[in-house]
Amino acid sequence: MATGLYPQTKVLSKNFDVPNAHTLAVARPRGAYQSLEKALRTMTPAQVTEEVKKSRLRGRGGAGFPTGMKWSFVAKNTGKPTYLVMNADESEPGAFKDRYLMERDPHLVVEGALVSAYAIEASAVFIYVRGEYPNSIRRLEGAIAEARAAGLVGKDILGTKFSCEVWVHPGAGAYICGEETGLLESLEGKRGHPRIKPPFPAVEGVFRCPTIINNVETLSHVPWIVAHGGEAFAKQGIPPDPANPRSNGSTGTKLMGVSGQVRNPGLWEFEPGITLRELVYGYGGGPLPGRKIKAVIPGGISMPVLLDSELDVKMGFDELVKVGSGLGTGTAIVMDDTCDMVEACVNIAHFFGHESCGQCTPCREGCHWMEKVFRRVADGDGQPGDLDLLESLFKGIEGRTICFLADAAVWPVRSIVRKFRGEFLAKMTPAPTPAGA
Amino acid sequence: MPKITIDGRVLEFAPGQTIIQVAQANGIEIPHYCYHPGLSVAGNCRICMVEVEKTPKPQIACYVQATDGMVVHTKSAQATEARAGVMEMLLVNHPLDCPICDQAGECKLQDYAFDFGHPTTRTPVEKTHLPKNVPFGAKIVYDGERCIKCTRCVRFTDEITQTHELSMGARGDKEMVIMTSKGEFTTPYAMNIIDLCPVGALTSKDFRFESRVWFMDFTESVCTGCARGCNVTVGARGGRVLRMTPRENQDVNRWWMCDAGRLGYGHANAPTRLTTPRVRTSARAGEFAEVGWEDAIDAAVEALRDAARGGVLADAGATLEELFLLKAVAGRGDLKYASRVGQDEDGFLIVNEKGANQRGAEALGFARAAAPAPAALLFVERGDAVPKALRDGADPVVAFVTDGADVPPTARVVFPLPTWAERDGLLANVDGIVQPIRRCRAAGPRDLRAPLEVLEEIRLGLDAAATPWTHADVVAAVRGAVAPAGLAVPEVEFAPAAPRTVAAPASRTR
Amino acid sequence: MTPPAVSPPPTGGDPRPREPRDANQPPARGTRGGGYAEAAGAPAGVAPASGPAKAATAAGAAAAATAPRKTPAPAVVPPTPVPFPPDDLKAACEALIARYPQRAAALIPILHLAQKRFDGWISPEVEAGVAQYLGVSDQHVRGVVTFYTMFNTKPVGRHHVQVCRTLSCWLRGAGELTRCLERKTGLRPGQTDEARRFTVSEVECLGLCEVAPALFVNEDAHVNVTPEGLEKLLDGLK
Ligand SMILES: Cc1cc2nc3c(=O)[nH]c(=O)nc-3n(C[C@H](O)[C@H](O)[C@H](O)COP(=O)(O)O)c2cc1C
Ligand code: SF4
Ligand code: SF4
Ligand code: SF4
Ligand code: FES
Ligand code: FES
Repeated sequence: MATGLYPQTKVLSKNFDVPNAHTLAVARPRGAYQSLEKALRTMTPAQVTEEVKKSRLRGRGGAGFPTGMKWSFVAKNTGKPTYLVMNADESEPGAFKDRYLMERDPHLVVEGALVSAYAIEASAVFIYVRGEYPNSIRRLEGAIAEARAAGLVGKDILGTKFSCEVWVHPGAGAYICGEETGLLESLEGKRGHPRIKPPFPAVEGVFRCPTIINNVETLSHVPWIVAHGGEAFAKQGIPPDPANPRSNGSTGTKLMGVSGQVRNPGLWEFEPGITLRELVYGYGGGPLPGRKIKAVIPGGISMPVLLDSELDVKMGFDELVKVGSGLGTGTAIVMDDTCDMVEACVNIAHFFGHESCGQCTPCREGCHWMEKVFRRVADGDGQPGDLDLLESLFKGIEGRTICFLADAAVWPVRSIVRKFRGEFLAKMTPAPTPAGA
Repeated sequence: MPKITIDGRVLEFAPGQTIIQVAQANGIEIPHYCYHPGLSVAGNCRICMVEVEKTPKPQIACYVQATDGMVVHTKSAQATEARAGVMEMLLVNHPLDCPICDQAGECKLQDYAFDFGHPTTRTPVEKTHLPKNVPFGAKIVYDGERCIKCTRCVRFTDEITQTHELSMGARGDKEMVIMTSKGEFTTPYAMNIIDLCPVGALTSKDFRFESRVWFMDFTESVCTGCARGCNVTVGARGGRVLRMTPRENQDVNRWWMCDAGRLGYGHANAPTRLTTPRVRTSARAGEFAEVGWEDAIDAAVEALRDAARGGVLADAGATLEELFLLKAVAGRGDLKYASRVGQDEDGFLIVNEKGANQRGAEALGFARAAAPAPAALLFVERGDAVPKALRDGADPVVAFVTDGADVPPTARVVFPLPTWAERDGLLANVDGIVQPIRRCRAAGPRDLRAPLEVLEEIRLGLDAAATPWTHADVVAAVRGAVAPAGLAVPEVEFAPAAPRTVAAPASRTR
Repeated sequence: MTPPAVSPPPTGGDPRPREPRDANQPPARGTRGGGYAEAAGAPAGVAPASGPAKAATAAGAAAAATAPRKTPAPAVVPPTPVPFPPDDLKAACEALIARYPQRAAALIPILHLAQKRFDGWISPEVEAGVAQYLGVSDQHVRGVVTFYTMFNTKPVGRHHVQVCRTLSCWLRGAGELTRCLERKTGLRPGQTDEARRFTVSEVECLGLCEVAPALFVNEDAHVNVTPEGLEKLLDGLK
C-alpha cells in the first residue's frame, strides 16, 4: 500500500498474511495461547476482568458497549452454569471483518474465547457462526480440535483447574440472529425472535443461565490486553474525552474495511484516529475511474450515510455519533455518483424487511411498507405525499420495537431521504425513469 | 405501598405489577392485543405503548413494571401518536374484510381503529398476501391475512394446554401461525384460541357466518357439560343457541372452557324437542294428547294424588331450586339423581362427573340411582345423563323431559323441559361453588314454562293449605337446606319471569 | 356432557387451497411462502409432502355433540416421519446433542446434517422425523425451517446458485448477475429447472462484500464475479 498514509497497526491481523497461520503448528510459535497460559497461571478471573475494564475495550459488534463493564454484570452464585457466547453471526451487510479473524487466525479467536470465559468463569463457550460461513466454521472447528488435543480446550486446561468447552454452533441464514437475544433463542434451537429486555443476558441468557455475549473481534482483543495490560491498550487509539466522565474513547485497534464503489475494497487494522476520508480515499483507493463519491455509510448498512463533504471525521465511536452517524462495524460502504439513491433505499429497505423477525408490528409491517413506497418512487409512480409518508413511517418504526433492527432499518434510509431529497423529487415528476442497477 | 401516577391519578400498586395491570385494576383502559392476563407477556404488538416520564421512548405498558414515583400518560401526545402509528401499521396489510368477518362487532382491531386510528388516509400500497381459510383441525379456521401475529394462540397451546400444536412460521411480513401436520389438536381446549384471538383470524367452523354478533342476544350463564361449571356467555338468536364462550372466573375456569362444553348445546337446538305438554289418553303406553299448560298441571295434580308411590329420579343437571321443589312435590319416596360419569378428567377443567349440580343433589339428600327403581317424578334434560334403563325402571307418573325421544311411554303427564340455556337457577359445582344459570331470552322454543313454576303450581294443587313460594323463597329455603353440606348459596338476582322475547338487540359482553 | 357424534364425511371442504408460491414469483429466499399447500407444488417425482387430502373422516371423537353444520375441513394426512437419524448420522447427531444442556438446542445443526443427507431440502417427512428425534413438535421444526433461509422447503437443483443482492454487491453489479443467470438458465430467483440442475436464489449479504459481487454455488463461494465469468462457471456445472 501507498506510503504516507495513516499507519496500520497489526495486532489482530498480525497473522492474516502468514501462510497456514490457522494451524496450531504455525500459530503457537507466533504467540498463540501465551495469554491463556498467563491468565490461568498468574491471574484471577477478577484480575482479567479488571485489565479489560482498564483497557476501555468497547464492543466491536456495533453498539460499542464497554466490555469490562458488561462482564461485571454477570450474575454470580446462581447455582447455574455461566456461558460465554461469541457472536460470529456477522450478517451486517458490508461487514466481513470477523470472517478474516475466523478464517485466518482461528486460534486467536479460540484463545480470546477461552481467556474471556476464564474471566467470567464460564463453563462453555458457544461460537455462533452464521451458516453462510462454512470456511470459518471449518477453520474454527479445526482449531478447536487442535487445541483440544493440545490440552487447551476441555478439562483442566493446561493442567490447571479451569475447564471449558468450546463449541461452534452454525446459524442458518437470519440477520436477526446477530442481535444478542435473537441469537440466544436460535442457540436454543428456536426461531430467532429477540427477547424483551430486561432480564438482560448477563442475568438470564441462554438456557436461562447467566450469559455474556460478545463479538468475535471484541474477544480477540482480550489476549493482547492480558499480555500487555489494559493500560497499554487504553493508550492506543482515541482517548476518552476528558470533559466527559462517561466517555470511553475508542481505544486499542480496530479492523476497518471498505466495500462498494471504490477501487480497492479491503480490510485493514488501525488505531482509531484515521479519518473516514483517509480510509475511503487512501486505503480504499478512492472512487472508480471517472466517478465521484456520493455517500458513505461508515459501518455496515445500519448507520446513517455521510456525504463526501462529511468524510473528514475520525473513525471513532463518539466522533461518528457527533456527525450524526455511527461506527457500527467499522466497515464502510461507498456509493458513487452512478448510484441511484432511491434504488439504494429500495435495496436497503428490502434487506431489513426480509430480515425482520416479524414479531413487532412496526418492524414487520413498516419495513415492507417503506420498501413499497421507495419502490414506487423509484419506478416513477411516487405520490405527492410520499416523502411525508416516509417521514411518518420512520417515526412510527424507530424506537417502537423489541430490538434495534427496526431502528437500524430507519437510520440509513432516513438519512438518504433527507440528504438526497432532490433525487426523490426528481423522480416524482412524471418522467419515466429506467430501473436502476 | 408504592405509588404510581397514571393520567394524573395517584395509584397504589403491589411490587411486580405492570403498568397495564395497575391501570386495569383502577379502571383505566390501555389498549392491548398480545397481552392477556392468562398468558406470558410477548410484548410484540406494541399497541399498549404509553408515555413514561423520564424515558425518551414510549414504553409498553404490558411489560414495564410500575415503580414508585413513576409518572405515566396514556393519552398524551406521545402515547396517542405511538398508538396511532401502530394501528396504521396493523391496518396497512389488513384485508378490508369487516363486512364478511365473523369477528365484526367484537374485533379489537375495529374498536381501536375507531378510537385511535390515524386521522389521515394514506395512499394505499399493495397488501401482502398470506394463506386464508386454513383449517386448524376440524373446528377452527385460520386466516393469515387477518392475523396480527400477536402469538396469543401459540402461547395458549404452549403454556396453558402444553400440547404445542401451534407455532409461528416463516418470518417478517410472511410470518403466520402454522399448525401441526397431524392436522388436529390433541387438547380438548383448542377452541379457546378463537376467543383469545383479538381479531377475526381464528373462527369457529361451528359458528362461522351464523350470525352477526349485533343480532345476537347474550346471557351470562354457566356450562352444564360437567360439574366444573365453567362460566360462559351464551349467544342466542331466534330460538337457537348459537355459541358459548367462556367468561373469566378465577375460582372456576379462569378464562377458559373445554370444546365439548362449548359445543354441548346441540340438545337445545334439536328439532325433536318437546314443545307442548302431553297427557296420556289411554291405558296403552305411548298414546298422548297435546294439551295446554294449565290442563297438564291439573292432570299432573290429579295423577300424583292418585299415585300410590312417590320418589324422584332427576338429572343431576337440575338446579337446586328444582330439586328442592321436586322433593316437595314428591312428598315421600326415594330421592335419586343420575348423571354421566366420564373418564376424561384431566386436572385442568374437565371432571369425570358430568352432573352439573351433582354436589347440590347430594346436599339436598338425593342419592345416585344405582339400579332401576320406581319414582313418581322424572326430570331429564339430557337423555344420556339418565340411562334408558333407569328411566324405564322409574315408570314415572309425571315427567319433565327436553326431547321428544325421551318421553316415558307410561307417564301420565309429560311437560316439555327447557334446557339449561332457558332456565334460571343455581348449580353447585364440583368444588361446591354455587353459581347461577340464567335464562336466555332468545333461546329455546317459545312459550315453554319454567319447571320451577310448573312444580310450584302442582305443589299448590296438591296441598290447598300451602303458602305460595316465590323463586326467592325457594332460594332461601335451599340456602338453609344445603348449608349443613357446606354449600354457600350466594345472593343472586334473577330477571322476572316473562315469555321469551325474540332477538332482542344485542348487548356487547366481551 | 354430550356424546360425541361422528361428523359427516367431508364433501370437498374449503374451496380455496392456496396457490403454491413458487411459480414466477421472486420469493423471499427459502422462506416457505404458502406453508400449507406447498406439497402440491412439489415437482413430479418427489414424494408430495402431505398429499391432497383424502376423504377420510375426521376422528369421530373430535366432533362434538352438534354435528357441524358446515362442511368439515379436508382431513389432513400427516406425513410419515422418516426414520431419524439414519445410521450414518447417528454418531454425529448424538455428539451434537451432547453439547447442549437441552436436547432441542441441537435442532439447527441437525437440520443442516439432515438437509445434506436428504436430497438438499427438508421435506415434511424429514421435519417429522427430526421432531420425533428431538422431542419437539413437528410444526416447531417447521417454524424453524421456515425462519432460516438456508433451509430449503422445496427440492433444489444439484447446483444452488445464490446471488447476493445486498448493497455492496448491488453497487458492484449483482443485478447484472441475476439477469445473466436468467438468460443462461431461464430461471428467476426462487426457481428450479425440471431436471433439477439449477436452483437460482437471491440472498442477502454473504459477508464477502470486499470481493463483491459474490455468489455461492452450494457451499462454494465465488467472488468478484463478472457476467462473463458467471457464464463460464455455469457451463462448467453439469
Ligand atoms: C439487528 C442486529 C444485528 C446484529 N448483528 C450482529 C452481528 O452480526 N454480530 C455482532 O457481533 N453483533 C451484532 N449485533 C450486536 C449484538 O446485539 C450485540 O450488541 C453484540 O454482539 C455485543 O457484542 P459486543 O459488545 O462485543 O459488541 C446486532 C445487533 C442488532 C440489533
Ligand atoms: S424490531 Fe423487528 S427484528 Fe427486532 S424483534 Fe421486533 S420484529 Fe423482530
Ligand atoms: S391467529 Fe389470532 S391469536 Fe393467533 S397470532 Fe394471529 S391474531 Fe394472534
Ligand atoms: S370443563 Fe365442564 S363445565 Fe367447563 S366447559 Fe367443559 S364441560 Fe363445560
Ligand atoms: S399489549 Fe403490550 S405489546 Fe402487545
Ligand atoms: S453485500 Fe454481497 S456479500 Fe455483502
